Amino acid sequence: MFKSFILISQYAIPCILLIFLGAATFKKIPIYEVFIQGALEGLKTTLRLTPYLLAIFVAIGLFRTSGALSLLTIGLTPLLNLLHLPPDLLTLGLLKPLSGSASLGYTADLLTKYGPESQLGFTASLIQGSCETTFYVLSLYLGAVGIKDARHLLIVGLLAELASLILAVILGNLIYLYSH
Amino acid sequence: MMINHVWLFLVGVGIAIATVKGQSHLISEIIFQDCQKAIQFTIGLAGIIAFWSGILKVAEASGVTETLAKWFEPILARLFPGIPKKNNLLGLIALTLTSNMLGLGNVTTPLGIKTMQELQKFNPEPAKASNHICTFLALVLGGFSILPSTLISLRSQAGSKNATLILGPIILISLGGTITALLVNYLCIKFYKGKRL
Repeated sequence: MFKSFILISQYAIPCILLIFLGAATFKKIPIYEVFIQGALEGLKTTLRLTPYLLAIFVAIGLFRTSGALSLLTIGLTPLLNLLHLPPDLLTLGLLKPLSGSASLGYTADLLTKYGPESQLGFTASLIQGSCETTFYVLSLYLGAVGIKDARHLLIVGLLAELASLILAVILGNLIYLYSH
Repeated sequence: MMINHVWLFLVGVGIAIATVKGQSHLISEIIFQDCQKAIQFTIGLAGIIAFWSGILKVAEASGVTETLAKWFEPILARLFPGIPKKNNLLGLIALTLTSNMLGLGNVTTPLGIKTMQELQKFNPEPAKASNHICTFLALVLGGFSILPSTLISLRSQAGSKNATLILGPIILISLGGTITALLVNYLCIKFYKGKRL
């Protein structure tokens, strides 16, 4: 089953491209011209996205590098001890909605430090794999079409994140207990 | 609006803490470095967004997205009522969600942005997220995943003998996240109509 999963991920993009281009050939579409037209629209979109990306990178950079993120984790440590949770997992949980690349790097660190089969490494993998980068997605997707009022979407994203986080910790502990 | 407050919080707290710690000289350096990172990231993103926008234009012109829309109509039409059947929008939504499930991050962003632009055409108040847009973003933010490919390779690199043990739990957890997102979205739309959150 694992092999078929890997095959899907390896062949998904070439297959999609072949199907799209095959259909275009069949319908006698001027592929090259249409592609260029679309790509130009894509570039215009990216230009519109630039200020949003700049804003989110600077905000997250300031919050992390200044040590605010680690202070927040330290502040919450008594609560974590009560729940028997390692602070590293909280840092990851706080990092994930802010930045995909930063949380991926942090997960890589945890896996090297504790080992991928440790309880912490396993739960960290589950968190990294199932939570979404809420702030990045919201600012990028809404910014692309110039929406200023996000209504309740931030709450939706953060509650989904919290649900995934809790489920990841529970399942991580259960599976670790059963496999050891 | 909430994103305003989040941004202010991140920047304000960051600057305040750096100052309190006596590292205010670092602030301008951090800003410089992160602006640079953001522009580098955007340049990288520009290429892939342009490429997939071009490919999607070809797919639209040849009717592929419309065919996909027909296939997924039975499921998606319930979540997105009122979108005309003869439209490739449902096809685009299906494509975005599929690539998100397969963990194809580089493809999901361009597809998602294109979908947002199409959804925006049905938005009566362009400055405000419509119900359709909220539902679409709830599905994306739920983060349903069946194949976290980057994570699996990260685990193998770290020497995991059983890198794929995470697949089953991740499907379950992200399903839980997606159900939560859809539920919260549904309740907010229903009970907080018109109110700002």
